Amino acid sequence: MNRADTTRHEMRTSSATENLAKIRRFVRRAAEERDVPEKIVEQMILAVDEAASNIIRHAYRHDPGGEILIAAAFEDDRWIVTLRDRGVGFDPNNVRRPDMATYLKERRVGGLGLHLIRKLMDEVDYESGGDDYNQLTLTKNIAG
Amino acid sequence: MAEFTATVRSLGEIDVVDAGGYLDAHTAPTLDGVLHDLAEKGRVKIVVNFAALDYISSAGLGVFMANIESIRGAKGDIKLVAMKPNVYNIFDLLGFPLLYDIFDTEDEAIAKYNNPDKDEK
Repeated sequence: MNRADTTRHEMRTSSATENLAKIRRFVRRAAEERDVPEKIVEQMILAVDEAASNIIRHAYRHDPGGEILIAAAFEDDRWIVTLRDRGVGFDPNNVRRPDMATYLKERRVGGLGLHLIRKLMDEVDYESGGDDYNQLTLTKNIAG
Repeated sequence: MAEFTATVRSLGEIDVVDAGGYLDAHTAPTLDGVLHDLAEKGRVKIVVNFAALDYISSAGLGVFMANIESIRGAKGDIKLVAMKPNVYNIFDLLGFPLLYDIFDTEDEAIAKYNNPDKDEK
C-alpha cells in the first residue's frame, strides 16, 4: 500500500447553506485517493458539514457573501481536512459540551455541531487568526 | 430531484411525516415548517418516518429539539421510526434515544400512541 503523501484537494465556496451538498460531495471525492472505510468517509463528511454549517451560522452570521476554503489531504494514515474562513472567530473552550436532558428542558437548539465534531474526529484543532482567517483542522485516522 | 422531501399522511388522529433525502442546515427549515404547521393545527400526534432519509446533520436533529417541548406540552409527541443505521448512529451519538421514542417500524409507533401507558418517556 502506498503510504506516500497524496494530492491535496481544495475547494473554495461561498457561505450559503445551499453549498453544503457540494461540500459533502467534495469530501467524498477527496476520499477516493485512498481505500478509506465507508464509515470513516461518512464521519468526515458529517464533521465537515457541521464545521461549514457553523462557519455559515456563526462566523458569517448567515451572510452568504463570505468565503470558505476547504482543503483535504492524507498524511500517512491520517486524513486531514482544514476549513478556513474570514468571519468572526470563537474560543472553542467556551463552547460547553451539552447535557442533552438540559438541552431538552431549555429548548436550546444550537451547539450540537461542535459536540458532534469532537465525537466523530480523532483530533480537532482551531486557530482564530484575528483579522486574517480562522482555521479548523479535522483529523481522522483511516487505518482503523 | 429535491435534496429533501417531507410529506404528511394522516392516519386518523396521527400524522406520519415521510422524510426523504438529505436533512442538513439548508433543508432543516422545510421539516421545521411541516412540524410547526401540524402543531398549529393541533395535530400533535406525530410520527416521522425516516425510511427514505439518507443523511442527517445536527441541524436536522435541532428541528426535533426545537419542536418537541411545545408538542409534548399540547399532549402530543414526535416519535421517530425506520431510521437507516447511519442516521440512527447520529441520534445515538447525541443521546436522543433517552429523550425520544425511536422504533424500527411505523406500526410500533402507532401502537404506542394507541396504548400510551407503557413506560412513557
